Amino acid sequence: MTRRTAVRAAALAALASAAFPALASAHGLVGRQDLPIPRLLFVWAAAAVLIASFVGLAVLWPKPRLEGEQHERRAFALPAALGPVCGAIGVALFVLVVYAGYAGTQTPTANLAPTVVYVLFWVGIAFASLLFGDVFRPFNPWRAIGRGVGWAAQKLAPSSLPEPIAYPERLGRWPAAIGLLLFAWLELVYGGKQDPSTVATASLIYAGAQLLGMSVYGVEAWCRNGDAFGVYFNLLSKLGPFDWRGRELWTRPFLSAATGIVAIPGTVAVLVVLIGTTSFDGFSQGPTWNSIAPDLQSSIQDLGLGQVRALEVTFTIGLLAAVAVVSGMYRVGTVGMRSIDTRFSASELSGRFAHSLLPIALAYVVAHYFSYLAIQGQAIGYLASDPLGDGSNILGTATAQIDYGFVSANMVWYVQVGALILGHVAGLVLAHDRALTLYSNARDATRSQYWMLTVMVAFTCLGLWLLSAGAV
Amino acid sequence: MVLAHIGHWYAEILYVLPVVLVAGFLGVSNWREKRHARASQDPPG
Repeated sequence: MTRRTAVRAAALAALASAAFPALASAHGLVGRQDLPIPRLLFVWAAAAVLIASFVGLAVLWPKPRLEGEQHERRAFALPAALGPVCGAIGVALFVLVVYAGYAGTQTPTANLAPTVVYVLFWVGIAFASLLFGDVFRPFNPWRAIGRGVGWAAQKLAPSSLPEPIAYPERLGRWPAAIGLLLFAWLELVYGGKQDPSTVATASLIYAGAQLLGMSVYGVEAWCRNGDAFGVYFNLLSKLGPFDWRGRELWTRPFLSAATGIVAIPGTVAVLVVLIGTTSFDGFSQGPTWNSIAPDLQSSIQDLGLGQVRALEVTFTIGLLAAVAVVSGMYRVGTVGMRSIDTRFSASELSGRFAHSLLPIALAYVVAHYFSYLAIQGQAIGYLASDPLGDGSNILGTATAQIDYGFVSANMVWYVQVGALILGHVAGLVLAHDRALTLYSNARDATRSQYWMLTVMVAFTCLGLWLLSAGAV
Repeated sequence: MVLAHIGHWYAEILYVLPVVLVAGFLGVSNWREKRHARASQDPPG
């Protein structure tokens, strides 16, 4: 980008911001359902922030700063004995969830299993991974079982234990991508998703698949690549400042570890699935989908399927279409980048810039699930005392209730908009920094990112449109 | 009713207006930079 173009773009961004001064004083919002300014203005202003960030990067960030040598520092080390203890806690919680799912009441809100799996595990650990590093790894129940079984087998029959097969390079993170897609299908499509017994059965099937994978390819190789949740939480932790290396905690600058993500096969698929499925979660609550779905469902029913199955097929089509749209948007960005320098194929660029999708995936998760975690997560207060919903009061908190005023509607909206803007700016920063290492000069690097800027603005508009649609 | 539908459709389209503006602006900038680079490489006359 030439200086003149940069100045023009900055002027465009400033004009857009100046045109909507209400945004600057938007503290007077009284709730998502009754905003004093149209939500559309938030979208335009968010796009203006991205353009201004892009210009700032082009002018002020001429050399790579995140790539290469990392400024890491060892903070402290935990006692070695904590490893097995964390694993045992993880296994105990897993057993409790499965037991509650089968033995407890089948009322979803009164049973521990759905809240723990869909709220505390899926959303809560994602937030914790960003803030505290990959905390799931030491508590991972199937990893703990796999390691325990391996240790016992080594003690009992050290000579007859076969070596695990080398993990196939081409398999990469594809098992994780498929696992995440299946979990999203369970959460967003399957009719009986809230049934505690269904949650328990799904948990057991997933654990069985993980143990099978570990037995074939080895515990660590499988957990690193094939365990959907292990891969998901580990990737998110790369954006944060903490890195657990065994029992040692190291600190590092925010975002810096994301540049070290090796885009083995399936990495882009994992990130695209995360963004696509979260997008569909928002889209499926909006008026556009709700005007399409009944017609589609009716057409599928005409093929001979029952009402519930037809609805599931309808939502499956929507889920897959959302993933395909996100994948297509990213593909447009990488194919466009190739027009600057044909040395790199579009597939190669797709892998090299995959890490820039990570903060976007996190932004979508925060934007869509922050209120869910803050409100529904409180249910653990009474569920901890009455996990089966049978009237017990183990910890004396069975009468605790959810405080729906814990986070205001204003706060939820600000967090959503802020998360999406920050996530996409972080994506731009990572992509710009990577481009500076790939192209021979800063000008070409910036020009290559024209496409990425367009994709980021498109993702931002999509995200805010989905949130706006869901809020109607 | 038709007008209401069109109004709703336009309102939705406005959400992608920034994408169109950014893509158009950057596309034109890119094209002009390429044209300028080609012109400076061509020998005079």
